Amino acid sequence: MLSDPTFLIEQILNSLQFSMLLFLLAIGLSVVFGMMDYLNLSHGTIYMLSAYLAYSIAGISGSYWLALLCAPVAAALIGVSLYYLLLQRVTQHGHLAQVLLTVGVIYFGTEMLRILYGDLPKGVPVPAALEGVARVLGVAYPKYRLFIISVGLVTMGVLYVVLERTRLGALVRAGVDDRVTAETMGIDIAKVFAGVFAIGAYLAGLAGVIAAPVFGVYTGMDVSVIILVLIVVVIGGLGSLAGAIVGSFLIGFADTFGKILLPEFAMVMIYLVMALALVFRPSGLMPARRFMAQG
Amino acid sequence: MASRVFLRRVIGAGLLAAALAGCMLASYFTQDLIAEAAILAVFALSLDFLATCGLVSFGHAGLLGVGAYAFGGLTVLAGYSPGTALAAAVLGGLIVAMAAGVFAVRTTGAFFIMVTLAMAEMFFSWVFRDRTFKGADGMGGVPRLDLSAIGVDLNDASTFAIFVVLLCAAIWLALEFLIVSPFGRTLDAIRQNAGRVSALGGSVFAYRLAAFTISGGIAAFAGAFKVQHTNFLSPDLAGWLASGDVLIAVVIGGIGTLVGGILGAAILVFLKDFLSSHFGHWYLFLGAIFMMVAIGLPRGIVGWVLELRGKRP
Repeated sequence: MLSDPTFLIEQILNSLQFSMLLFLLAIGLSVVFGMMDYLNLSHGTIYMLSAYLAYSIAGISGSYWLALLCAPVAAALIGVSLYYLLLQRVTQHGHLAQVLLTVGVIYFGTEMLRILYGDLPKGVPVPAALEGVARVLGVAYPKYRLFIISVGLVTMGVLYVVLERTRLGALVRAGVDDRVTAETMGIDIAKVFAGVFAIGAYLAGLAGVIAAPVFGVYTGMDVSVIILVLIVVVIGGLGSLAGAIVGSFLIGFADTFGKILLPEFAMVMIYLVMALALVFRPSGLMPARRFMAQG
Repeated sequence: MASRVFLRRVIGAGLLAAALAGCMLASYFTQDLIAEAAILAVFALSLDFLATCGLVSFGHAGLLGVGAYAFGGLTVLAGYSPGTALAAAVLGGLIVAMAAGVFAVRTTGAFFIMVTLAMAEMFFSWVFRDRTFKGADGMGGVPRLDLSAIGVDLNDASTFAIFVVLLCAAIWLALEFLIVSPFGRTLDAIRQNAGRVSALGGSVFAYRLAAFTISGGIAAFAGAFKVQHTNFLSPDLAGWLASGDVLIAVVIGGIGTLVGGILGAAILVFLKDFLSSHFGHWYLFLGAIFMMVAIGLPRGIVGWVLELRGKRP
C-alpha cells in the first residue's frame, strides 16, 4: 500500500492538512497554558461555535469568504468576553476548578447550539474558487485541502516572525518564561495575556471555519478535537511555538497513518506516540524554557 | 472546635445514615440510584485517595474498565463463579495499575493527566474493537455475587443497594485510617513538597507507585460492582467521559477530603436524574451548575465546609 507513490503522497498531504488544523487549535491553548497556567478545555467550544457561525454567515450571505473573514473575529470577541466574564474567576484556584468550569462551559455551549441549530449535522459548501482538484507531484488532490495546508503554513510563518522577531513577541515570551519578573520590569502581563487569549480564540475560530467544509459542523466536534489538541500540547511541550508545531505534525501523521496501517487500532497509534514521547521527555519535546526543568 | 478529621467523619456518617434510610424506605427507582451513587462513590474514593499524593488522573475509567471486563469476561465467557471473578478483577486492577504506574507516576500535573488519559484510551480502543467482548455492542448477562449461603439475595434492588452502600462505607473507613497512617502522611508530604521528601530519603517514586496501585485495585473493585449493578458490560465504562464524570464528582465534593468524593458522586447521580426527568436540554442546567460550583466553591463542598471550620489539622 505504502509502496504506491500516489497513495503515499496523498496520505502525506492528508496528514499535513490535519496537522495544520491541530496546530491552529494547539498554539492558543499552549500559550494560554504556558503563560497563565490555565487549562482551558472550552477552547474547542470556540472552534465549534465559529464553525456554526460560518454555517450561518455562509448560508445567509452565500459567501464563504465573508464567513472566513467574520466568524474568527466573532470567535475572538466571544472568547475574550468568556474569559473576562467567567474563566478568569478561577485563574487562582488551580487546574481542577478550571476543568470543572470549562466543562460547564462545554456543556452549556453545546446545548445552546443544539437549541439554536438542532441535532442534525450541517454542511458548509466549498467556495467555488477552490472546487475541484489540483495536481501536486503528479497526484490529483482537492484544491480546498491544499488551501487548508497553506493557511496553516502562513499562520506558522506569521507567528514565528511575531513571536521571535518583534517586541510584542518578546513580551509574550517573557510572560511565559517568568511572569513575575516580567511584571516587576513594568510589563502589564494582564494586557499581554488578553491579547494572547484573543489571538488564540481567533485561530481556534479560523480552524473552525476552514474545517467546516471538510469535516462538517456538528455538536460534539469540539470534544472530539480537544483531546487530540491537548495531546499535541503535552507532546510538544508547554508555551512554545516550536513545540506546538512539532506536536501537531507528530499527531497529524500518527493519526492519518495509524488509520492506514492499523485500521482497527487507529487511536492506539496516537497514544503510543504520546506515551513514548513522555517516557523519554516528561515535559514534552520542545517546551518553553520555564517548563524544561520539570519532570 | 471540631477538628477537620472529625468533621469529615461526621459528614461521612451522615451520608451513610441517609443512604441506608433511603435503601430501606425509598422507592425501587431511588434504591437503584443509591446503588449507582454508591458505586460511583467507591470509584471517586479511589481517585481521591490517589490525589493524596498530588496526582490527578484523567484515565481512571481505564482501571474501572479493567475490573469490569475481568469480572464480566470471567463470569459470562469463562463460567467462573462471581466470587472468584471479583477477586481476579481486583487483582487485575492492582497488577495493571502497577505496570502502568511504573511509567505514569514519573510525570506529574497536567502531564500525568494526559498520560493516564492516553493509557485508558488505549484500553478503551481495545475493548471497543475486540470481538471477544462483543466490541462496541457490549455484552449482557453479567451475574451478581451469590450470597444465598448467608441468606442474602443481591438480585433484590433494596438488598443490593444496602450491600454496595456498606461496601462503600467500609472502603471509605479503611482509606480514612490509611491517610492518617505514616504511609498516608508520607503521601500527603509528597503532595506538599516532593523535593523535600526526596531530600529526607523517602522514595517519591515508590510511594506514588504504591498509591497508584492501591487506587487501581479500588477502581477495579468499583468496576466489578458497576457491571453487577447494570448486568451489562460496555466499552463506555472505560471511556474518557467516564473518567471526566468521576473527576467532576471529586471536584464538586472537594478533592483531598475523601468524603467529598462520596458526596460529589451522590450529588452528580441525583442531579442528573432530577434534571433529565424534569427538563429538556438539561445539559444547559448541568453546565450552569458546574460553572457556579467552580466559581463559588472552587475547593468543593466539603473543602468549603472544612475551611469554614478553620485550618486546624
